[in-house]
Amino acid sequence: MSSRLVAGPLALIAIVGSVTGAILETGLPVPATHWVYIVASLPLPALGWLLAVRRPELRYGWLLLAAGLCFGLGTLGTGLSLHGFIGIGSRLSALFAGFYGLSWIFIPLLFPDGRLPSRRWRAVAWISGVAVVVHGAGILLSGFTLHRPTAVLSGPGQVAMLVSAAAQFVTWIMAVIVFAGLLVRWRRSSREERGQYAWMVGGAAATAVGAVLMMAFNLGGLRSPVIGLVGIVAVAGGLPAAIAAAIVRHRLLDLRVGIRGSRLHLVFDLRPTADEVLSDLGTVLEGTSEPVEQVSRLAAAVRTGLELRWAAVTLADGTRVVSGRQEGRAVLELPVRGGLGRIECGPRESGRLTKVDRRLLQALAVPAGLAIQSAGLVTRLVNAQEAERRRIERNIHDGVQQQVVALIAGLELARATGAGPDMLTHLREQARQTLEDLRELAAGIHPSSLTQGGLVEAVEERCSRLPVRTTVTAPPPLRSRRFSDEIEGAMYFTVSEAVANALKHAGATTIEVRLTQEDGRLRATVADDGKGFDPHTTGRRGLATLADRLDALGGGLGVDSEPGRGTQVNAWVPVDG
Amino acid sequence: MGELIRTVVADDHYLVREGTRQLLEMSGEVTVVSTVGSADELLDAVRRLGPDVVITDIRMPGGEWRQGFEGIDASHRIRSAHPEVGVVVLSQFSDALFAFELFKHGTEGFAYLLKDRVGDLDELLGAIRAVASGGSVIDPKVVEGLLARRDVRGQREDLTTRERDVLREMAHGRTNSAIARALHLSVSSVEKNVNSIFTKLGLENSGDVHRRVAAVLAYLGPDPS
Repeated sequence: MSSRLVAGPLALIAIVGSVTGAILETGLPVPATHWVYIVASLPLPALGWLLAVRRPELRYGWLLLAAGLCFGLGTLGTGLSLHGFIGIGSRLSALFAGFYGLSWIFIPLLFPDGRLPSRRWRAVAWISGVAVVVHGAGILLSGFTLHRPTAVLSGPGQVAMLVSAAAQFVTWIMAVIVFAGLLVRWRRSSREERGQYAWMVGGAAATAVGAVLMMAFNLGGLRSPVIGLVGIVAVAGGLPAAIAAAIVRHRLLDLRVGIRGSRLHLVFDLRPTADEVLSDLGTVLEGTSEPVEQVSRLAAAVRTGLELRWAAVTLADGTRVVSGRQEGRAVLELPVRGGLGRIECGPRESGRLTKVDRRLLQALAVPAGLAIQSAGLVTRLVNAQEAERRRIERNIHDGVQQQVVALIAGLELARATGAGPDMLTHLREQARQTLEDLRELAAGIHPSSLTQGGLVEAVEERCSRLPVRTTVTAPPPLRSRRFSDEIEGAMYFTVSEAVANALKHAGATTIEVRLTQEDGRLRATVADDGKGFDPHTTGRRGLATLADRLDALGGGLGVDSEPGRGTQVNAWVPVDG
Repeated sequence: MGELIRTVVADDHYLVREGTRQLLEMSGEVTVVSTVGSADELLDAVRRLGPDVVITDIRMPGGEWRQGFEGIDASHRIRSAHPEVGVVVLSQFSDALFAFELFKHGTEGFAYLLKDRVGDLDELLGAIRAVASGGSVIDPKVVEGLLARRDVRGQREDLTTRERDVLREMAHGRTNSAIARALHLSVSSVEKNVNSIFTKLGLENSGDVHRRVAAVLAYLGPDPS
């Protein structure tokens, strides 16, 4: 069920209770002092509601909401009992015991994230809980009413009142212990958290001072309305004010106040959720195909997403990109999916890394792994492309170009010496050889049969020039099918490389190439009867680059071989239809 | 020597076009009535000049033609509109694909030579003469490619190496005595091989060189599937 559906009505009940109770107490028109009371009672349920709605997984918001509810219903009870609804009125006003217990003990104790500081505090929490309940129950059972505070109670009523007072005394002691504990935590807190604790200490102290003032007002001789007012404002508003300040100033509970849009609405802007960070990361990574840039944007996304002082991404090859200025050791390290690298996190700008942060980081590790993987893939593809260009350049430079130079020299010789038919025939053959080499070179770059005839045609052409018995089988419909240049190129060169390996390394005597298309996959299988190899110990040579190309198309490459059992290369890419 | 064979030369490369023209005219057997640089111009020249033979490149960018097949498609257009005009296609590719394309509707009046044959005047003239009289010629290297292609498709002929040599020469439009000279064999040995080839391929032998080439090419041609 939506936390909104629960928190909203609860907060509304609390606020309506406070307002109605206060108005009932004084009647209309409400004097100015009571307006202050009403206003002071609002922050607690409001803040509780906000936290419970935005971060329902945190207990703290619900805690504040419960305290606000106790306060509001208590006030309502007071107002009702003054108007003769004594039964219901006194029962409701007994909830003030809950308000004091929560605001003096549990709110400081469970600060800042709704969890006990340590297991040792469990005793304090239990004793306090029982004391608060007994305190409230005692008031209920004693028959004490605000309507007649000085009325003499019955015997059992006196016992109940006594037990209730003892319980209240226990809660005071517990409150002091909790406050002392808060002071200790404040002193020991790290730099990031010190501000948050300082505000809480201030809030708790203000509440305590407010309580003393109220007691002086109610019981002692200080009947100045100003003192009573200051006391009630401090009691009801001290903690929410401190918590609000800690949120605004120190990002307590990962909340912050920001201005959203151009309309200058002051809103509570939450930390981005995992989904938001992920979708941002997607956009950010889409903006660049530069691999190192991608990784550096990834690091930046982690840093801003988790509000870290710095974040670093380290790749398996040792490349390390840091976003922000690295100081000290990483507080959190996480391997990215696929083990291709790791993410290191520096400390938060303020506050500690919470469980939520860790979850967020774990969620980030998946796309981070993919980003790193694709960055590596892009790098390898670019490198392979460069290597291929260099190879072609070398071939032109050392091969064809030299042949043409030789041809020119030969022609010059022929011109100078008045060459006979033999020499000219020789030169013609030389030129033919050059042409032949050029033809092969061009076919190696991109065969014309692939451009003009498609995959099956080009594979048949390539295989028809092999010195060993080679068979190509392909279903007739595939013969006329054309695919994108990338797909045809990747598949053709994979087959080409596989048959070249079968000849060069495997010493195959027959090669079988099979091209099929089914279930949305275009598949090429090259099987030879060569000597085979152990795929675990032997690198995939030229096929590695082609595996990357297929990978980039969403396909894959498998090599199945065993010494003495031949080799089978399987390549596939997804295609339509 | 009889009348000169009237030809049109088409190639998008100026130097190749002019070099071919000079070579052909030097032979004293051929006159080049026009040289053009595109398939459209070629069709136009054929319409206007009515040559005996056209000599065309395959790839000539421009016009509304199938890209990369401009010369071949123009050849088919010419042969269907003017059946008396022979076509010699000069190809920079030895790929079987282009030979299949050229011969897909039949071989009569078509020659398919690799471009480097421009350095072999006799070959070129032989092909021009053959197509002028409705015959066919195919470059031995391309025949080799077509045979290899049949092998790859698993339609293997069990021809001996000698028979393959003879087949290549036969497809080249040579008579038995010319084949004997080219392969340094006796005419009777060539005849024996030719008979054996026809038996193995299940074809009917013919004394007529043209029909013999046509039969071989039809056999080696593209798979009907």
